[in-house]
Amino acid sequence: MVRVRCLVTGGSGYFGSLLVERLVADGHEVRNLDLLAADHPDGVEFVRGDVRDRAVVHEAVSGCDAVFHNVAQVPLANDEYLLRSVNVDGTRVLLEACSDLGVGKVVHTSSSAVFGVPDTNPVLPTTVPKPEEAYGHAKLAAEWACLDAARDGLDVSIVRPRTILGHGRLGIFGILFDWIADGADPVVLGDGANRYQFVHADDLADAIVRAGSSAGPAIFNIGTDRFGTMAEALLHVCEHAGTGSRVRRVPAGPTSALMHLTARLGLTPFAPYHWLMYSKSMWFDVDHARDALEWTPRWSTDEMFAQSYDWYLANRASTERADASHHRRTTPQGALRLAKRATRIFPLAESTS
Amino acid sequence: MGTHHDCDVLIVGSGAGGAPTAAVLAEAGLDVLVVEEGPWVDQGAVTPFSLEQMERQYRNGGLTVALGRPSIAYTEGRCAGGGTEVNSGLYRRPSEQTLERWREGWAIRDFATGDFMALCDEVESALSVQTVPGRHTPASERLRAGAAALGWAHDEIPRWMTYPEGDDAESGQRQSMTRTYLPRAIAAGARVLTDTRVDRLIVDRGHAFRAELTDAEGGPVTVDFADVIVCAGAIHSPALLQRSGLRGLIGRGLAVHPTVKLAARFGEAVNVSDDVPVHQVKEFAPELSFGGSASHPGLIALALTDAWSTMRDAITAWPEIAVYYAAITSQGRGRVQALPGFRDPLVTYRLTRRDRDVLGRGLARLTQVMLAAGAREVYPSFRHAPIVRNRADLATLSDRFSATAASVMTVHLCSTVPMGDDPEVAAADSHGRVFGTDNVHVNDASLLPDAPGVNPQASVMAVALRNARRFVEARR
Amino acid sequence: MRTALDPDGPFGRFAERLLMLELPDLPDDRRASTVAFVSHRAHQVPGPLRAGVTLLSVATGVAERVVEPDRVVAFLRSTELPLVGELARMVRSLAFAYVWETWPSTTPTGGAG
Repeated sequence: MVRVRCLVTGGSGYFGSLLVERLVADGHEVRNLDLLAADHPDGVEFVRGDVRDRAVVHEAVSGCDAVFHNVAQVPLANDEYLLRSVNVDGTRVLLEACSDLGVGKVVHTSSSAVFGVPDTNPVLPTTVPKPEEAYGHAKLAAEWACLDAARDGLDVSIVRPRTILGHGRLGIFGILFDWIADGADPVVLGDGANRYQFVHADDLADAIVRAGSSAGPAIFNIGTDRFGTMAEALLHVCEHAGTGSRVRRVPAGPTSALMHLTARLGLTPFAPYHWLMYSKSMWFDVDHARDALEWTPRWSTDEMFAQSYDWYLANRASTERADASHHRRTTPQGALRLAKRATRIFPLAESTS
Repeated sequence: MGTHHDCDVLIVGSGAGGAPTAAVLAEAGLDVLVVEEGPWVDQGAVTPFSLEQMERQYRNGGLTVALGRPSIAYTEGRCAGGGTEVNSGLYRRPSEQTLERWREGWAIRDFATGDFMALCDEVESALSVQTVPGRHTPASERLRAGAAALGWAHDEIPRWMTYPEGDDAESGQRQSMTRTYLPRAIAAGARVLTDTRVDRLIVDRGHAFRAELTDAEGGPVTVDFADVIVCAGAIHSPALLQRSGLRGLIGRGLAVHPTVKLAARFGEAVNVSDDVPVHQVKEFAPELSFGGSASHPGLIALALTDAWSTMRDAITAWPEIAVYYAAITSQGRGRVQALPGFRDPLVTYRLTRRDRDVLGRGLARLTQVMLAAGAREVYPSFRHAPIVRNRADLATLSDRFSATAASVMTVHLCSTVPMGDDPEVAAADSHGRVFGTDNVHVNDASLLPDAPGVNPQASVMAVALRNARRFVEARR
Repeated sequence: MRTALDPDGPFGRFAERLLMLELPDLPDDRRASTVAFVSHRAHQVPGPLRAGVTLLSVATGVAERVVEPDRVVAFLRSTELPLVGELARMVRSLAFAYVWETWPSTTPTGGAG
C-alpha cells in the first residue's frame, strides 16, 4: 500500500482514535486535528484547534493527500447552536481548505440520523434522507456541503454508519448492561420486533479506509449484515451474560412520552434521537458498499453485543473514567435507577431465537 | 581491626546490573572487587520458587512490602546473580517508544535506539535467550489457548534458558548471572566476595574512597577503591547512597508494575511446581499484561487465602490449579527511605486512582481469559472475592472488586536513581554517575527512568553494558 | 535474646490461636512446626516492618490479658483496618504456604489427608 499523508479530524474522540490507529497500522502518516490531545502511537502529529477556525484548519490540511472528517457534535450534547455550527460550519470550513490546498480525497463520516425513521427498509443508497430531529438535520446539512464541494470538483465520499458498537462504546446500552449484570430485566419498547442494525467500530474503520482509497464522489451506507430485532439482540446478550435477566416489554407510546419528559427535566440521559429510534426499525442494504469497496463486515450484532458486554463487565471493576468521551462513558442513569427495579412487572418479550 | 581489601573499582551487588558491569570492567583489565550480600548458590542446588529458595536467595525471605493503600508486596533476589537466579528468566526488550520516552523525558545523552538494540543483541547472545523449542507447560498452554479463543493478542516471551537435555519447557536450564557474566568476570580476574554487606560509603566532598562492610559473622571489613559502582537493586542502591549521606532525588521515584492475581482450576492436571508459563497476553499492552506465576501447592494456598472461607475446598484440587497475574503500568510512584538505626529502608508506594481502576479491569479481563481457556473455577485474590464459574459470577466479581482488598504484589522495581542530564528529574547523569559526586556510580534497575511496561531485566543488562563500556573508555 | 516474635512470645501465641481457628484439624506437631516457621520468618522481615509487627504483637499480648484471647484473635482475623489487619494476613499467608508446600495433601481444615 502506498504511504499517504492523512489528516483525521476529531482523531482524539472515540471513533477518531480507532481510525488513527488503523491508518497508522496500515503504514500511513497521520495528523490529528482535535480540541484535545490523545494517547496515540508515536509519529502521529497533533494539531490543536477548532474545526471552525479557518487558520488552524488550513494549517492542519496543508501537506495532506487524504482527509478523514470525523469531528461531530454528538446529539447527547443537546445544544442546537453547537450542533449546527460544529457539524455544518465546521464541515464547510474544512472542505474549503481541502479545495484550496488540492487534497486528493475527503471522506466525511455522516450518520444514519439523516434518515430519521425511514418509511421503508432496507434503506438503499438511493433513499432520500428525511431527518426528524436537530442532529439529523445538522448532519444532513453537512452532507449537502459535501455534495456542493463535490460539484466543484473535490473528491468527497460520504460514509453513513448505523449505531456504532465495539471497543468500549456502549452508549445507552451501558445502562442495559448494568441492569443485566445485576440480574435486573432490560426492556424493549412495544414488542421489540423492530429490526435494528449496528456496526462494529472496526468494520466501520475498514469501510472508511477503503472509501478513502477508492475514487468518488460516492455515498456508502454501512452496517453489519447479520442482525435481527431489538428483542433478539437483548435476549442473546442476556443469554451471554447468564445472570438470569429476562427481556421485558413495556408499552411503547407511554414510555416514549415518559422518556421524552424525563429527558427534558434532566432526570434521564436520553436525547431525542435515542427514544426516537429505540423502538423503530432501520437497516441499510450494504450490498452497494460490499461491491464498490470489496468490504465485508466481520462482526454480527450478537458478537458486538457480547464483546461490548464483556468490556462493560471488565470496566465495572473500576470507576468511571472522567476523561472519556461522551459515547464511551456509560451514560449516567439518573432516575433510571428506580426503573431498574420496577421492570419485572412487565410481560416477557417472546423468545424468537 | 577487621579485614581490609584494596581494589580499583568496587562493585556493590552481582545481579543483572552488577554482573555485566563486572565482566566488562574485568575484561578491560581493571582490578575489580564484587561484593555480594547474599550467598553463592549454584543453579539447581535449590528447588526453584520453593520456600527454601526464598529463605536462602531472597532478601528478607521474600517478605518485603511497600506500604500504601493497598500495600504492595515485592520480592528481591539476594544472592550471587541477584534476581536473575530466582526469577522466571523472562526477557523482553524495551519498546522503541519506551526508549524515546526515556531519552526525551530525562535528557539521556548517547542513547540512540539502534545502539541500544545492538546491546540487547549482545545480551541475548551471552544469555542464550530463546523461546521454548518443544512442548510448553500445561498452564502456559492454557493461557495461550484462552487468549486465542478470545482473539486477543498474545505471544511467548523468550527466556535465558538452554535446553541441553530435551526440548520441553521443564528441561530448561537458567543461564543466569552465575552461569554467564559472573564466571566471565572471574575468569578475567575479578574477585567476588559473597555473604558480605556494604553498610556505607565514606564520601568526602563528593569523593568516595572507602566502604565499610560487615561479613557473614558480623565482623567489620573495609575496602578502599578509586571508583565505586552501586548495583544493589532499586531498593538497596538508593538506601546505601542515603546511608552514605547522598540524598537529593535519590530514592524518590520508585516505579513498579503492580500486579493482581488469581488461581484457576481446570478439569485436568495443569500444575507444574517448579516452572512458570512463558506466554503473555498483550491485547491491552502496555497498560495491562497477563501472564502465569509459579504454582506449587504452597503458592496456591497463598492465592486462596484472601477469601479462604469461600475457596478453601479448592486446595485439595491443587494439581488442577495454576496461578496467573495481571500486571499494569502504574502512574503512581513510591519512595525508598533509609532510617537511622535500621538495616532495611522504609519503602512506600502510592497507587493512583487510575492504577486501582486498571487493576480491577485487569483482574476481570484475566478472569475472562481463564473462562475462555476452559477453567472450571477461577479464584481471584481479594477479600470477599466470589468463585467465578461463568459470566454471571464475573459480574459479581466486577461489582465486588476493590484494589485495597486485593493482594497486590510486584517483582519489577526500578527508577530510584533515574539517569539523564536533566537534574530536575534525574539523580545521576546520562551514564549513571551520581550527581554531586565524582566517582560514585549506579548501574542497575535504579537508573531506568520509569517502569518499562515489560519485564525490565533486558533493559537493566543493556544499560549496564552501555555504562560499563563508557566507564572503561573514560578511564583510558 | 528473646523477642515478642518468638514462637512462645505474643506473636507465636497469636499465630497458634489463629491456626487453631483457621485450620482446626492441623495435627499438634504440624502446628508447632508451622508456628516455628512463621516466627522464624517474622524475624526476617525488614526492620521498619518488624518494628510494626512487634508493636502489634505486644499490643495483642496486652489485649489478651484484658479481653478473652479468642475474642482478640477473632477481631484481628476479620478486621479490615489498614496495618492492623496485616498481622493476621501475614501469619495466614506464611502458614498456608508452609503447610501446603510441606504437606501437599493437607485437607482444607488442616487434616493430615
